[in-house]
Amino acid sequence: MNGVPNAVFAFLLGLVLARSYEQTRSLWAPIAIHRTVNAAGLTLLWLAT
Amino acid sequence: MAVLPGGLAFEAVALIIASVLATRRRGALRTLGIVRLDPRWIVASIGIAIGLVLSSELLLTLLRAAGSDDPTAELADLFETMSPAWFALNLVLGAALVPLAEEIFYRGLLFAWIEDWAGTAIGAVASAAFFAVSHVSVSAEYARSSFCSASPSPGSIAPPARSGPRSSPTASTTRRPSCCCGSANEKACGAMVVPRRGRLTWRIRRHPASIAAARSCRMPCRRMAGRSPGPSCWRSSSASPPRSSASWRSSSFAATGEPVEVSHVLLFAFLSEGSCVLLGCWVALRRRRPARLAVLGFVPLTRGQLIGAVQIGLLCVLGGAVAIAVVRLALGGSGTRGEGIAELLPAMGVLRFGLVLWGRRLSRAARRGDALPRPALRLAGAAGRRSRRRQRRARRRSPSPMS
Repeated sequence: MNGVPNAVFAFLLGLVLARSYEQTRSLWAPIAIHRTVNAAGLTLLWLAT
Repeated sequence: MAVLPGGLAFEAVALIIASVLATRRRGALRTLGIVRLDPRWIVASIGIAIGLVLSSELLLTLLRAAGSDDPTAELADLFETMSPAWFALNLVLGAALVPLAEEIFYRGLLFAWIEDWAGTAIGAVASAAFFAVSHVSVSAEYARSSFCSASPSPGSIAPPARSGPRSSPTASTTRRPSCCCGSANEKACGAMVVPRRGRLTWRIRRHPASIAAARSCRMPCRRMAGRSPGPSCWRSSSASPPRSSASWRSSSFAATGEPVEVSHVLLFAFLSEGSCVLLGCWVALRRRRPARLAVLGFVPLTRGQLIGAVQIGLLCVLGGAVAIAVVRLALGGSGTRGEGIAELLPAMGVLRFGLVLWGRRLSRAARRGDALPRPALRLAGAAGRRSRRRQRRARRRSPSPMS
């Protein structure tokens, strides 16, 4: 199942997001990280195809 | 394809509305963690994100070099059929709205909730685990290679395979390896979805030779460097047209194991949302540091209420499955992979929406000591009556020293 690497990456990303939230006590930090990751990932994939 | 942005929007809006409703009181946004942030942190966050993307690209390159399946193959195939305008819409939703909704749910509610009970480390790991489970893509290729079925059996909810070049036997046999869907010996690897008489459930019956055939199909594909088993398999055949060809694209989506995909979705929904409900109820039962939880409306539940909560969680999952089936029927099932993904998103939105709202109602009922909202009312009420009866009996047997 090729979703497993996705899940591993999502888990690591989740840890980073939780840490950033814990550090700042504001949801804007994980939101900024999440948005950038999604935007960059989608754009790179679009360019690659 | 057009439903993908709609699905994303539905998921995001449902999460945001549910989260706001769950904390509908003074300072709700602050309670959820939406407070002002130092601009330096914004810059640092973007830097962290770029680092993450680069590291993931490095990981992907290593995976491709090692000959492993490409985890982005499914999305890449989806993007191939997408016009720039649709991609832009997906980008706006995926980069603006969805992260906001997911962060409110996973960090603002779930992480804060578990952190209060079990500490920061466990909170971070648990919320990341739920985040990861909800991001496992249910691979259409996996479903297809494991449980291929070219045409739905009578009475199943799957739409029939399209006629014409997509499902023509000649095209199928020349473009696919012998054990893939639509091929001459597909019965050997096929699965039958048999609806149960008089019920809204179904079961999957696999042909006895299916496991061995599916294994022999995937083996050569796995050895190939590059993309996921299905398309790699098809591309490996000599008669395969180029990747950009519309005919190849449409044939690769033809005759999917649709009902099996639904069953995967069900399993996925049970795993992610059901476990979320169960863990939430268990956490709520533990009476540790309830002050901050109470602000969010999460207070300990009684045993009867816990049973009711589990019941409601299962109903939410069932509702999601019904929603998927309804969407599939309404779409007419063109069988494209994009629609499979899009169907998942509204279902997840429905599930989380239900989860958050019912959690709020349950916690309010628990705080007031009221009866549970329907449909858990009967079950929880019975448990409460039994408990009160036991207490009365115990009181009669041992009269108090005051009397």
